[in-house]
Amino acid sequence: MGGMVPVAGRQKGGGRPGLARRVRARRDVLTLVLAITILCGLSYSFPSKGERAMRASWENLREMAFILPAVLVIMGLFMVWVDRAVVVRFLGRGSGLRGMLTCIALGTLPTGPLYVGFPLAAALLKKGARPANVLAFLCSWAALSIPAELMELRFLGWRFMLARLGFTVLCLIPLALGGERLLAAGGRQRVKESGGGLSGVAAPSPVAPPDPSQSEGTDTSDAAWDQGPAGAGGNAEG
Amino acid sequence: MGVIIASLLGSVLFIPGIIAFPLADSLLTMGAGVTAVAAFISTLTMIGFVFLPLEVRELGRRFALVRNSLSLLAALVIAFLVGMVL
Repeated sequence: MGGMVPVAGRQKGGGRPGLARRVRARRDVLTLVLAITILCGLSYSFPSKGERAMRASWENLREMAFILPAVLVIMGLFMVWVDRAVVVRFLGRGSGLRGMLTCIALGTLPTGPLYVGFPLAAALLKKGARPANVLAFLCSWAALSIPAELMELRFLGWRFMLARLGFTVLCLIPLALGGERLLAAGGRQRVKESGGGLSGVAAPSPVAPPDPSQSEGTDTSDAAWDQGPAGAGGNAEG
Repeated sequence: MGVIIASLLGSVLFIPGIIAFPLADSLLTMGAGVTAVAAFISTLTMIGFVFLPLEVRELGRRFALVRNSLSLLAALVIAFLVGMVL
């Protein structure tokens, strides 16, 4: 949860109204205080588990404090140095299967948890990468990173690892393409309805028949998370 | 049933891989099904309920929802395929 703070700071130059930012920052601080309170309360009531929880929190915090700034610097360099044309050529609409495989390979390389991948993915989208490729990148980052696979090999054996790895790659490509269609359909819907909000999410079900209940089901429960000013999605779709 | 519980747990929890894989191993030795463990790991890595707000902020609500819901679906498919093979 502490990760909200550096990200809120990063958006200083994002052109967002200052008031909304302050409200967000206050909410982040409140969440942090709440989390720490819960942690303390729980570790008081269950002392044996408290130590492990403290260690996990500390590990997460350290990971975030070391990795996230470095990633933000790399991302800044990426935004300045890498030409849009290069991204479009290798990862854009015309890149085809090779672009997607490139993205999957890129996703396996770096270490670090998923939340580090979000700003990178946003940068790629802004540079003109195809949404399907960005989805593939994020999913492969999440599920296939090489250090995690080494852990999996050590603890769960090569059969389990190979099976999960192979099926993940197999599922990844349809997931990315289907996700892109969902995104595109919703985008058009939104333009038609001029900001349809939640109703727009359920609409693309005729495009991808296998999972209408899936997207609807998670949608209603997840919507409560985003209480901030709508328009966070605006920059990602540009 | 165990698969559903495992995938729900995996979606909600936020555990670094260093702890997650030993945990999965001990789940297996305690008698959990391969499908359930695969679902647990896949959802754990691919779906982050905890940092969903961060994802919404960075990539937009629509992108986050599409990615997470499709990831859940894919994780279940992967889990069943792994369970069939092993």
